[in-house]
Amino acid sequence: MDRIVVKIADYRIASGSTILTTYGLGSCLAVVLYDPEIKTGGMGHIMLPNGNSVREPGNPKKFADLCISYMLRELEDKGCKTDRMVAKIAGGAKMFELQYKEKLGIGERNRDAVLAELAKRRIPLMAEDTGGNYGRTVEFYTENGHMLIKSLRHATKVT
Amino acid sequence: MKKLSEGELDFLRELSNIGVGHAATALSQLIGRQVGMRVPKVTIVDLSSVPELMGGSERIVSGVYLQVLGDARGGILLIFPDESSKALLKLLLKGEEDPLSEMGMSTLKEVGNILASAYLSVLGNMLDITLIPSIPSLAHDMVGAVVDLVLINLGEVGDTAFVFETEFYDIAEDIKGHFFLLPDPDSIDVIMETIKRKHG
Repeated sequence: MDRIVVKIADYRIASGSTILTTYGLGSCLAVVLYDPEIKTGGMGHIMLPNGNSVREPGNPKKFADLCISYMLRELEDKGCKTDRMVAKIAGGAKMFELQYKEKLGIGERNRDAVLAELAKRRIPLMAEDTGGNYGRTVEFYTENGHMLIKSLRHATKVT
Repeated sequence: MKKLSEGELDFLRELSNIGVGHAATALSQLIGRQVGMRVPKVTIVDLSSVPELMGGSERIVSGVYLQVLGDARGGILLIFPDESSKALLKLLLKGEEDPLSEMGMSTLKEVGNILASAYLSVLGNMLDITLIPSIPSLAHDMVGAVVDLVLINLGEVGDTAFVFETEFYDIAEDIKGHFFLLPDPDSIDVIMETIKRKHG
């Protein structure tokens, strides 16, 4: 099986017997969009909620909203249909206990932004493994739509 | 983020060397033995390549994070590879100690506290502002997960990161660490401008 590594602030598309992998997610979030009909999907590794809330957007793929819309466009070019598509997400942890807290941790804000974006496009969320205070490595198998979540101190999860 | 020239980066490296020099003195007094520290390199890297720079996203590290309070806000993150945190604990506690034990964790936090305080006092003096570190917080996990908070902070203002390599010398153990200085978006310009002015 081929393995494609998704780097931070990037997304990759794959189909057939491929494993999309992203390593060591903390507050970042992995977003998987998948069309089971043609066994094609994409994985994004996002860092921030929205592209319009920052001073210098730079690389658009680091934002939940922009990453999802770029990824969807490319998936549609590959023959995917939005109304067949499902989503899975993982990550969004809170790695450090902060003394002076922000209103909401960045992990949670990322999660909220992704859920809003999915709801807007009516893409159902099939699985979620978010929160906690530990890092995650995520693998997605385009052959069967399974997502594997590995961490240092917890058993591997399959969704 | 405004670009810094080679000379300005050198200036920042010198400043960091003074900061960790003070920290080394504090550490030496704590353990009753001479320990030296220096910053051989300050690098500006693309955000997405930071985990690779630190040995790959899945490498296990100890990270100590402190919020910076006072006239400028932000954070400081210190990262020690697993081997280095073990060696550091051996040096400080004069015995084997697991980085995950109660004693190991509080010792690593204290090291973070000493380094951050020393560094902030040097930086504050130079900028004529008061910078106070918060209570340290520790994470022992995959490096990608430990640094992504930093990358997120930096990602709000640009796509590059400052990474200061830090190494210990005058000791038999091979101890290396990285530290990140992360001014909040509002504080970054103040610091950059001051560096440019003081250097120029």
